[in-house]
Amino acid sequence: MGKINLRPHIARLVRLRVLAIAMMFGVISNAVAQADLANKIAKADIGYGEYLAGECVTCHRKSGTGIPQINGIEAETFVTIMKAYRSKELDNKVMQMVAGRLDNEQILSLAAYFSSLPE
Amino acid sequence: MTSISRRGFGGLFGASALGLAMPSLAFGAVPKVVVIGGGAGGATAARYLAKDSKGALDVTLVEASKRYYTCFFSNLYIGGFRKYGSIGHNYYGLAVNNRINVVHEWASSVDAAARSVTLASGGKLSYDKLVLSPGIALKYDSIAGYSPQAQGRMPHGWTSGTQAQQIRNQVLNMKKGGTFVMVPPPNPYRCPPGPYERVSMIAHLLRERNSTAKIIVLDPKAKFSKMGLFMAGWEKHYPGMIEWLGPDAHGGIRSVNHETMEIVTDLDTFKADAACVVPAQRAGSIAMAAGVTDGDWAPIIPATMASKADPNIHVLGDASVASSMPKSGFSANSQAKVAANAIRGELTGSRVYDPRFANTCWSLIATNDGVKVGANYKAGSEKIDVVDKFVSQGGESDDLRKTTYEESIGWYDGITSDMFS
Ligand SMILES: Cc1cc2nc3c(=O)[nH]c(=O)nc-3n(C[C@H](O)[C@H](O)[C@H](O)COP(=O)(O)OP(=O)(O)OC[C@H]3O[C@@H](n4cnc5c(N)ncnc54)[C@H](O)[C@@H]3O)c2cc1C
Ligand code: HEC
Repeated sequence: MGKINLRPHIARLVRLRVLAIAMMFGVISNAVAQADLANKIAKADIGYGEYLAGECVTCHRKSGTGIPQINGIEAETFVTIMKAYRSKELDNKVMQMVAGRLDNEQILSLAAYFSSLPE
Repeated sequence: MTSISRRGFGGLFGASALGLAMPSLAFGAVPKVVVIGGGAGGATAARYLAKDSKGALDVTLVEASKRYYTCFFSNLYIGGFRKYGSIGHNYYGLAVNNRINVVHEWASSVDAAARSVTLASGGKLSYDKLVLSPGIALKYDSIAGYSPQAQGRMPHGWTSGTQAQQIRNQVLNMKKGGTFVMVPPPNPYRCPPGPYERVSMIAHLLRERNSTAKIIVLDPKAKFSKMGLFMAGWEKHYPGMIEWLGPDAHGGIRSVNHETMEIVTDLDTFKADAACVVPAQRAGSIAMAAGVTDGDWAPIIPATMASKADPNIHVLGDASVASSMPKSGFSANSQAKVAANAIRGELTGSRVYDPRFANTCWSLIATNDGVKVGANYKAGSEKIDVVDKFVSQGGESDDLRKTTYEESIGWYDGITSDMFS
């Protein structure tokens, strides 16, 4: 494994830190909010998520380097990451733009869809 | 048109009460969609139509070639960053995994009134909806002296395949200290940053093997996509090698001669040891034959990509007038999903969602120096409107430029699997 393969892992660690900070400072402030989120994801429109995912799969595919794979991603993590791109706390021009036009309902639908896929 | 196609867009629509009135379809018959062109737009459209309708549509793809060599990354091939074989794709996945009837033939005409396509062999296909994604045709006569004959020595490399191999070969065989002349096309053309990525890749190849060689760019345009980024990159990686001349400097391209390898402009004549000449472009000929073009390109209704001339014909990708979107593989792929969603809705009553479009174009300037420009779009009433956009900035860190290049590799695998898997 050369240098290139390490990059996504480093990026992922950064993301996990953002996730942890977000949880501490109240994006997902407590267990009640987390249960509420899980509930919203369960009720989200997965068919709409599949349609919206059409935009994502031009870049995200099942395996390979360069762009992380997101199939089977845990739904709550997905929501936190997408909101962090939307608020530009996470830094990637493409993903900031992609997330920038997604409303909460659309992010939930996408979370329901991507989390339902096998990894 | 029936009330089905009059549902608005911009929101989420249920399919309730649509089950009854399918336009012009015999009860119980499986509606037929014919897609002409198995490139970025057509392969994606065929795949999404077949995959999402799960047998409720009969999908036929007409594609002349048995193997599709992408124009995207053909510049990276020229520069030595990709093997030629890695940019070729076959239609196995579409035929076998998605059960699309893939017909490897040239479509020669469309009878819009009878809703039928005639193939070069004389065979016919009938359709309820026709999707055209034939890409571009070259306007050879836009440059005096240029022709299919001339392209042997002055390759354009602007349609996929062998031409890119010829360009690489010519660069490799250029005499020491020789001159390469690049003539980019006038607007509008497919892949706005493409000619300048090509110049970068040729410079990369020459710097390694023939460092006293020169590249002269004779541009019919006064400015071009990502101009500042390319100019700064050329200065940084290939100082003194590339001379870009706009119309102010050469006065206009007058003619080319592939026998003497001369390019004549208003103010000067340039002698090339190797050259790439890209003429003006128009929609692929089948779009003309189908009667959906107005001038060189086919106007469309943004929300569905349906032709303004014929509601049963959708036009995707380079052949369409999809401004504000650039003519790119990414755009064509994005438009294909919008069209597939609309067509399925109309023919099978499936849910039709808000149309959304996106594009990002990466360009490689030198090893690990990638830049990108992108935007997302929504369907306006007259054109496809920009929602948000971004572009790489001058002075970015080497690390960011490397990550940007790596993203483009991920994207290539993503889009080609989205087209062909
Ligand atoms: C050098 C270069 C670099 C590029 N780089 C990028 C890039 O990095 N990113 C990007 O997004 N885009 C890039 N592009 C642009 C991209 O290649 C095109 O915009 C894209 O291919 C358009 O898709 P399309 O479906 O309209 O046409 P195409 O992909 O050209 O597909 C058309 C297909 O239709 C077939 N066909 C046409 N007429 C008929 C007929 N009558 N019967 C049967 N078959 C027919 C052709 O054989 C062809 O396979 C680049 C282009 C070039 C030239
Ligand atoms: C133009 C290409 C492109 C498109 C389109 C795109 N992404 Fe991304 N995505 C990326 C890149 C590049 C990254 C890595 C960014 C980084 O390093 O922060 C990424 C990262 C992500 C991540 C973080 C994954 C992880 O493990 O760290 C998620 C989640 C994600 N994208 C979801 C989506 C969704 C959902 C869509 C569609 C609505 C989408 N993306 C569309 C390129 C794209």
